[in-house]
Order: sequence, then C-alpha cells, then structure tokens
Amino acid sequence: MTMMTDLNWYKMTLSENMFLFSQNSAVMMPLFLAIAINIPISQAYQNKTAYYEIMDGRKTYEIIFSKVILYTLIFFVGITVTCGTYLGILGIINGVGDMSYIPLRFILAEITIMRVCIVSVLICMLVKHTIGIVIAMLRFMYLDSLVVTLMISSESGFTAANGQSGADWFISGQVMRIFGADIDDRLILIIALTLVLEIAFWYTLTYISYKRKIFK
Amino acid sequence: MTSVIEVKNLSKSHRKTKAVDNFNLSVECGHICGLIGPNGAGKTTIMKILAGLTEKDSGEVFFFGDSKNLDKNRSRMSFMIENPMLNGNMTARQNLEFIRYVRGVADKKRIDEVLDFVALEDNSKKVSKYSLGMKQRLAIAVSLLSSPEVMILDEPINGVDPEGIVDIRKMLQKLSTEQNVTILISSHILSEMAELCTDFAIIYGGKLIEEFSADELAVKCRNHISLKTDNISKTTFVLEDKLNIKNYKVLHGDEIHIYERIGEIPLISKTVTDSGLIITKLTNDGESLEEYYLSKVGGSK
Repeated sequence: MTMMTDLNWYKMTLSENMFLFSQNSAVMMPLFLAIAINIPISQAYQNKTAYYEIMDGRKTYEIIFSKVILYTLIFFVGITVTCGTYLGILGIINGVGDMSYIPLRFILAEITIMRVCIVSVLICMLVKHTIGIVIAMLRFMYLDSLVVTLMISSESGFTAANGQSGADWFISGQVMRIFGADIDDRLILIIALTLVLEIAFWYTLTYISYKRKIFK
Repeated sequence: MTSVIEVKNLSKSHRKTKAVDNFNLSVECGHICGLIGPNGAGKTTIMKILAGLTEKDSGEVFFFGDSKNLDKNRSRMSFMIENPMLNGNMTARQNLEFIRYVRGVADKKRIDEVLDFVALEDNSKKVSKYSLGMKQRLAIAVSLLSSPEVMILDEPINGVDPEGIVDIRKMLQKLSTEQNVTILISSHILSEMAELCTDFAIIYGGKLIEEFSADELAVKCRNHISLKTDNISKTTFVLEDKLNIKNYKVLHGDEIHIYERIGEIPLISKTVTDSGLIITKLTNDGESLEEYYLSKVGGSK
C-alpha cells in the first residue's frame, strides 16, 4: 500500500515554525517529553518512596508495568489532546483536504508518542536517579535527534526519490515522515519493529536491575 | 513458638568487604528482637535484605516459616530502613494517603488512627519542615498503616528527643503486647533497647556474636533485686511461699539477692510489706546491657 500525498494533505499551511510539524519540533518533541516524564519518577527514587512497592512485595513486572501504564497514559493523553485540539483548530480555520490518510497518520503518530513515553519511563526506572534525565537526553538528543539532523542535512531533500531514508529508523525521522511526507509499508513496518525492539531492550535492562536489586 | 523471621547463614559482600558473614537469626512471634552492633556491623544490610532492597549472596531467609514466597509475605510486614522514606513536598496526611494506595489499605480512617497512635498532629505543614523526631514518628505511622504482623525498624529513635524516645518505646511495647506484632529493631541506644526488647542479637563485623533473650541477659548480667528487711528469715519464707521464688541468695546474713522475676519489683514489694515486714532496701542491680555488649564486642576486635 503506498500513499502518495503532498505536504498540504490537510490543507493546513505548513511553515518551518509550526508546532510539531516542523523539522525542529519533531526532533525536540521526544526530548522534552522524556524530560517531563523523568522529573516525577526520578523524584520518587530520590526520596525513596518508590521503594515502598518493593518492600510491599510487589512483583517486578507489576512495578514496571504500573509505572509504564500510569505515566504513559498521563502524557500520552495530554499530548494527544493538545495536538488534536491544535489540529482541529487549524482544520476549522483553514479547512481540511484529503482525509483518507489521517487515521493512519494519527495512529502512527500515537504509536511513536507512546514509544517515547514508555522508553522514558523505563530509562528512569533503570537509572533510579535524577541522572535518568541526562540519560534520556542522551538517548533522544544525541542518539536520535542529532543523528537524524545529520542524516537530513546530508541528504538532498528530506524524502529521497524512492522514499527510503535511514532516518526512518529513528523517532525524529518517523515523526517528520508521519506529518510531512508520504507513508509507505516500509515506514509502517519500521515503526512497529523499532517500537517492539526498543521497548524490549529497555524493559529487559530495567527488569534485570530490579531483579538484581540494583538500588541506591 | 514459631519463628516469624528466620535467617540462616546469610552472607553479603560489598566489593571486597564482607558486610554480612554467615549470619543466623531467629525471631519468635510477638517478640521484640534488638539487633545491636556498631556502625558498619551489617545491621542495615541485613534489614535491607529482609526488605528486598538488597540481594543476598548466599543463605536463606524465611518469613513465617516459608522461604519460597518472600515477596508475598512481605505484604504482611512493614519496613523502616535508614532515613525515613517520605516525600518532603507533601504533608503527613498526603504521604500516608500515597502509601495507603501503594499498600492497598482500603480503610481511609486508618490514616487518622495511625496519626493518633504516633501522636502526630495532622497539619498543613510539609514534611520537609518537620524535625527529625517528627519525621521518625511519621515513618513509624507509615509502617503501621497496613496493620503489619511484623515490623522491621532500622534505628527508629535516631535523633529523637528523650520524651519522643519514651513515647516510641511505649508504642512498640503496646503493639507487641496488645496486637502480638513481632518487631525487629536496631539502635545504638542500648539503655532503650534493654528496656524495650525481649531478645537481643549482637552483631559485629557482619557476624553474629551472640543471641540471647532478656531473661538470659538477666542471668548473664546477674541482674538481681537487692532486698533488705527487718527480718530476713521471714522474708525468705514469704518469697518462697507466696511468690514461689527459689532463685535467691542471702548475703552477709542481712541482704537477699533475688535472681528471678526481676521485672516484678512492685509485686515483691507489696507481698513483703503485706506480710508485716519493713523493707529497708529494694533496688535493681547488676551489669547493664551496654556493659555486657562492650565486653563481648571488645573481645571480638
């Protein structure tokens, strides 16, 4: 399934500064989200109230899942409502274009946001310290955003002729493709695969750290 | 009597240092066991292992006779490890409300009960503004919230004022006698431990030096009651006949040293007086826990 569409698929005017739809915003969004999520969680480890769950005899997967679900829901819903409202207002003002691909783009965007939320929670639970914010920054800024920015700046235009780009494997690249370029089966598969792989990676590390009782 | 907490050959090393070295301990149901040792002896490490915050290197831990379901049995216990684990940006009630959710305590009124029990006024002050003594009281309240069968308290009277220490001692004794709560407590204040605990375990360099009950300590320290009256022979008759006291010595013909029922001075006094005798001396003498502990630890250095 290939969907070719132009950048004005919802008839809204895109500009470089438009929230979430600009290259800069797509790069920085995961970073800001990670910082916002890490602050409350790391505080719980700082004052050690996070350890009551362990002392209550909760199973490791219960502790991890409960935090992942709670914080992902809060921030996920918050971001969705904010962006949805923003898009809705723009749509009212400027009208909407081809609505065919909106549901899929919306779903893919939600999956990406959810991935950022879950990974941020897991990083914080792994590190168990305010330094988790730094680790999350390293993950989303240097590993993700910087790499994507370098990739884009070295390519002739963001979307190559055949739609393939190494930036698709990174969250920032995925966000830019979802909102600003065509979507193909390859992108959908990459989004699904990277979601599973990255969450599995951080979950495994966090689970082991709890099982081995690597606490301060 | 069944052991509620049992630890067998527990060992834990931090890098090259053995924090706990083949440690054994058994705490009976309803008892208050005092873990006594200097800084760095391994008391907190043992308590962290029991709380699930540190992994042991070897050995076995049993809760309620079960070593397989430690996590499940932890829900019947409460722990107060190191500094009070409280959110400084919340009030006492908010902290308790948070713990109530975490521990699944359904009854909201329980918060008022525990605040009342520890004599902590529920005000709008944030915990970050509390004194250390108030934080310790709140931490004890947090421990009591889930109505635990077992409490493990790591230096709960650290930094508490003398009145507060007495209050906490009375609270813990009340829990033990009225609600049959088993308590494992560590503290450096040996005089308080001597008043509070029914059993003692001396730990040094991660090793168990000695484990004994309060009664055994009384024997070891030759804790005794010194009694002098106007008629020693009649007094010995009264002690044997009315109080069934057999373990005593008459010294110098005019002073009796009684080696049992040490904590029953009022009863002994009343019985002797009611028999028409005049008491001229009635005191509790002997080696203190502190002196005994120092004699054991000094010998282990």
